Amino acid sequence: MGFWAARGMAMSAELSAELLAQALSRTLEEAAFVFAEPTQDPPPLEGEVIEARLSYRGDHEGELRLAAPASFAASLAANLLGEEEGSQGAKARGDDCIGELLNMIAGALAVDLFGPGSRCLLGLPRVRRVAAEEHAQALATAHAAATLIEEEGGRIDLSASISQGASK
Amino acid sequence: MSYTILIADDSAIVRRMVKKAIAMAGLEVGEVHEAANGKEALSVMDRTWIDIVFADINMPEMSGSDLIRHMAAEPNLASIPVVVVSSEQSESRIEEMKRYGARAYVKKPFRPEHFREVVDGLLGGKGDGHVR
Repeated sequence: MGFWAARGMAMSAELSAELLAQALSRTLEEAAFVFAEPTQDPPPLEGEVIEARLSYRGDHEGELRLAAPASFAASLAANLLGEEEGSQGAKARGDDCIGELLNMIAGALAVDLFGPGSRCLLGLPRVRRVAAEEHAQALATAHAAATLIEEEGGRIDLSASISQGASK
Repeated sequence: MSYTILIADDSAIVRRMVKKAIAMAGLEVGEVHEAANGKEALSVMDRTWIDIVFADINMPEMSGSDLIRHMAAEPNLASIPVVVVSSEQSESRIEEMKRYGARAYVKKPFRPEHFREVVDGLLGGKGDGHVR
């Protein structure tokens, strides 16, 4: 909680680092059988990071961003597809995997943020590879952010930026 | 009897996940066709017999909701059940898809048994599939 609270800015009670961490953890567990926990001491990112962005529009508008190193993305893809870790198929689908995970997270977060009866429009995930430094900069300026570490040390970051209006 | 299935989703990884879940569900599946958007799905149905369609909502070119509305208005396609497979979970969105003509809704992340229940319900003579 301390790490989430420290990373999350005072945007709203609803859109918080804790909420992001819960949605990310739940989705990783349900979709990929990966168990991950928030950390106060995340390992530094090096090299390329796969980053997916998805815009949403409900009671407020914003953008969600999910990012992980390519090696961990490939591992997640293997889990999502039930394939051998390190297989060519899993390695080739790391980018697609991060985009789809963000899509699932966004669906769950929309209900968390706006309620089950509210209308929230979700955009399509846009995936690209960025340098670790660029990702770190984006993470530092987000309204709320959470970093989770899975059992074998894989790191994944979820952040949110609000562009218009205020949340409920 | 084995079913011919069409999976419409712009994400190749999701199409693969759905295929795997259907296989793991133990359903009797013959051919599985794939489409990356609603337009491609219509093109597949124009030349192939399809028993059931699993469609995402958010797709480029032609969305899942446009696909469902098009199929509902087309006599040759109106009887093919469409199951929405989506990460969108709001009740209003699910109701909207049902109004357009979707017969069932599977939320992502999904499990193989979700597909079994829906397909049994829609094609197994047990009435409509239900929203999960």
